[in-house]
Amino acid sequence: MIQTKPVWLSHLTDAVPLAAKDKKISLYTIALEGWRRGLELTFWSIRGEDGEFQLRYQLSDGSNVHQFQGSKGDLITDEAEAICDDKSRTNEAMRAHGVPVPHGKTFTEAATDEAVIAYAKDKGFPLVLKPTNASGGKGVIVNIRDEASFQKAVTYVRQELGLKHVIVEQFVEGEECRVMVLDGKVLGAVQRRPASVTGDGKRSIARLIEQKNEDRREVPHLYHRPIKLDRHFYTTMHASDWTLRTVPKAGETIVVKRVSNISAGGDPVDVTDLLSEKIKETAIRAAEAVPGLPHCGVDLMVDPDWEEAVVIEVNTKPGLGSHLFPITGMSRDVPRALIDFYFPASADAPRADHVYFDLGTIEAAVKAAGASRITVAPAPEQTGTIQQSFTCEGALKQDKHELERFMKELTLYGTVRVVKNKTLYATLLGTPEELQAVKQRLEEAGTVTVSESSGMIAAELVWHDNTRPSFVEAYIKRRQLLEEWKLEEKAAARTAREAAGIRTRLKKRFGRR
Amino acid sequence: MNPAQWPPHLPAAVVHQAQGPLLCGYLIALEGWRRGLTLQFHAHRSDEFADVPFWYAHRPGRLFTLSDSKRTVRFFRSRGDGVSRDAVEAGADKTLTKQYLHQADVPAPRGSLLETEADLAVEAAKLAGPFVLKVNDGSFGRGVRTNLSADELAGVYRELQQEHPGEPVLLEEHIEGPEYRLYVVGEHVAGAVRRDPASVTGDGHATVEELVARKNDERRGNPRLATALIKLDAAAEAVLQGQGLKLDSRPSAGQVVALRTQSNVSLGGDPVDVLDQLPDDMKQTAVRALKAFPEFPHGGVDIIHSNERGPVVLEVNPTAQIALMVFPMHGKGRDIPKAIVDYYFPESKQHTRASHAYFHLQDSLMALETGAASASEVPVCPAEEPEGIHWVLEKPLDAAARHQIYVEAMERRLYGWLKPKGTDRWHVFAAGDEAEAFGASLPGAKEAGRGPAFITPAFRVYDSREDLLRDQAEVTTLIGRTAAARRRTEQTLKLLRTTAGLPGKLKLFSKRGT
Repeated sequence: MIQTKPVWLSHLTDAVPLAAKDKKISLYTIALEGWRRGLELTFWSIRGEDGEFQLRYQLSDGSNVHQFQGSKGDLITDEAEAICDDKSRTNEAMRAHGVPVPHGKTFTEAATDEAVIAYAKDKGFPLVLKPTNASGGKGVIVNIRDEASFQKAVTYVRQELGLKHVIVEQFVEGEECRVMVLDGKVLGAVQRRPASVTGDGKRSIARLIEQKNEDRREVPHLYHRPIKLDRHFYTTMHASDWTLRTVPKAGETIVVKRVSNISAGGDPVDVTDLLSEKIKETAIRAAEAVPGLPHCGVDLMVDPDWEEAVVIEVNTKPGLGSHLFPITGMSRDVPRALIDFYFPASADAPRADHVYFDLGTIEAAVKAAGASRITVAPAPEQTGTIQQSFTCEGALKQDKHELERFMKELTLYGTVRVVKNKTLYATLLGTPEELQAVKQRLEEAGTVTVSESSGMIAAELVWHDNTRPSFVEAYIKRRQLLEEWKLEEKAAARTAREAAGIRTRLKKRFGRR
Repeated sequence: MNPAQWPPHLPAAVVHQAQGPLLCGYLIALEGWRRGLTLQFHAHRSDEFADVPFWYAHRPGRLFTLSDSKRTVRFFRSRGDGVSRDAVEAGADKTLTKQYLHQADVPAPRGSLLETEADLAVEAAKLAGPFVLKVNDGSFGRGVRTNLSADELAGVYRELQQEHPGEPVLLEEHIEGPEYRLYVVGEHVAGAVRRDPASVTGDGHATVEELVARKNDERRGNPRLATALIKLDAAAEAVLQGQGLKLDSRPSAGQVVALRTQSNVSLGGDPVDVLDQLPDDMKQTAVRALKAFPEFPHGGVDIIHSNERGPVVLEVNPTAQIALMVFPMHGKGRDIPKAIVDYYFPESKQHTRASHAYFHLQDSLMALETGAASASEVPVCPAEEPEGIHWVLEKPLDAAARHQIYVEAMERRLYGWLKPKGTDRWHVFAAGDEAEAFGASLPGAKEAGRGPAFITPAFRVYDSREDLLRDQAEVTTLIGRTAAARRRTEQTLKLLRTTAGLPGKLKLFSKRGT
């Protein structure tokens, strides 16, 4: 595979704050697109299944209001969602509309395991077994090649997981790909490739994975999804001649896991230009087959020649991360297309492309039950403003509160950092007059240097003071650390379970520890 | 004097979180919210407040709205938008105040604004002494000199001009008598305090310094006075010297030692509730005083009671502090927030006030504090009074353990809190259907009774900023420890995999592996 540098959208580079990187890329980028066009953005909270408060959002241009949940907007009807959430109903809708789907049969709760197995034997292998309503690939078992494995799979899904409502389908050889469809058009297509590293002839697999994980942190939606050395990794390694110490040849690509999930370290790749007209047609018709579904992500299984495809699943809330930040290929501006669709009148509005808003404090306030509805401060006006960086050296301790007030009462945007009461760094957006006033005021406090500045800027005046971090800063920082700790605990528990499992198996085999 | 009785639905533990300039606004916001009104806090850039006069609002908490289905009222601290901009401007300008009062025949001190020092003698001749000199738009007792003789005027005038360059100075007759601050809402006086200048009372043993420390401790327990402690500065020492005392003098039992001449609460003065003792003519004067201004339905009135002239209005304050009447040093606390919310939302009088509930101000202001939000709405007030269970937990709880308790409580949809009670001692309260089960999930928790408690709209873990900072270090260590443990297991796992099937090697690492 040739690794080419991806082309990302310049207006989203460095614009995704840390708080959005944890499963909120779609929410953030759609909200950002609307907000940058001057739409009013409001977040509100609902209580999720885990009891925690979660974010919902709406955009409004004064007369039209649209509500969103992730990448799902309110033009998708509840009925459409119900159809997409139930794989057997999805298949029905596809068949009724003549959209190709894998052959198979649905079994309700009433069906016995024997009946399911009998059908499978009749149908012939390879097969796929999947529950009708589980999300995120839970309980989906693909490429089942014989009766014994199928029996095991049935017991696991229907008895252990308790998901009795299942589909048995023929397993179609080919590649999976996700196509984003909006209003009869294909916006983009992505494919997940299993986690891999490419050798340089010097570094070991272990070092290459480390390097790759560092690179992944540069990709917003992969920030929290490194290649983990988990069960899948060891299974793959074990089945090969490689170990962590193996040094692959320069240019040699080593697939380190068989599963392709992004969360397991898989790479999202933009494949929009690979789609044949026929495949595009299938995706568009799949969306049309469900009434009340103006946009969705269609999961396809395409044949090895990329000529044709069958529909595996239709998603009402597809993640946009892979379309926006693919590892190779080009980003596709899905948020822009969605906002054009929901707010056609805003299509030509000037966009504040170099500003972003801070999701972190909004989320923190909502999670702490301090706020149930938050209106985001509007994006700054686009005309007549400039951006500058200031450094001010001096004894700031006495003066900093007055400085804060002075700067906050001007209409400035950006970030101010006070370090050890001695140095103040500021990157500010404002009118030339305002920035001149800031320069004069800072000159009262110390020695000032001013330079031109570009790049992303916070759409509020955020004030950091390292001698006295605010309650909010401390609160958010701790919350991030706690999240990190939870992830780490989970990873540790997984590894420990696995070690225990192997020990038990060894004990059984050798009759001693 | 009697100890103070404060409104029981506003315990210090709840109110203490809103200190200083946030307190008055919080009391009103809380009152409205508890009645089921929608409460939103706003950023100073919010368009909603474009025509409301306000100041020092670059930090959030001072601007908020209360609304029901029919109307929205905007507040800046204690002032609702029923108070007109004209009234606010008049309140800030002492000459203008006097003009409005004069037009409405409300007694006010005679006097006039001085253009130059030369005016001083001319204007003084029109009044009978003694005199008062003050800067025209001062507040908090800033730039006021009272009880001056004709000979002192010139010297004090020059002093004021030096201290407050460029500010116009006002000459008034000095009126002798006790001074009161009243709060008027509509046709009624809702509260009244006399403000006594800072003082301590001797016990025959303690020094002045010790007595002040003792009094400041008492003030710390008062939500309003906690941020207005008595300072022993040069001014205090001068007053002491005037009484022939020093900081280490030991005043005799019952001796009242003055520490200030001004009565301002912010300078250590004591607010004392006097509403029930107030003569009717004074109340009527206060109500008439507000009516002298255009659209001024509620606000503070400073009145002096002179033997010769009866009640004389010194000042009106459209953005008055109400907290000193809710939490006086002595006497009964008056429910001014109730009176104000009743005035704006008369229908809401019928709603039961959810007195057991409150919202945590800092949590509600988070998104405004950074500037991310232009408006932030407080979650709906939990209306029913919760019967819940109290537990005591006696063990160290690190940040992660506290977070675990929080997650558990949120999953069970409980109201309540976890609060530190001394070292390694915690107080837990939870109300809701699954409170019992929650208690069972707290290892080592001892039940400490059942009953109601003050709650926020969710489960809250009490952290101070310092707690949070300490937690950061703690969690970082925890992450490091967990990561190290995981790496060790990974090593073992690696060994297990490479040695699986080689029984000879297995022994070797089963020693350290298990």
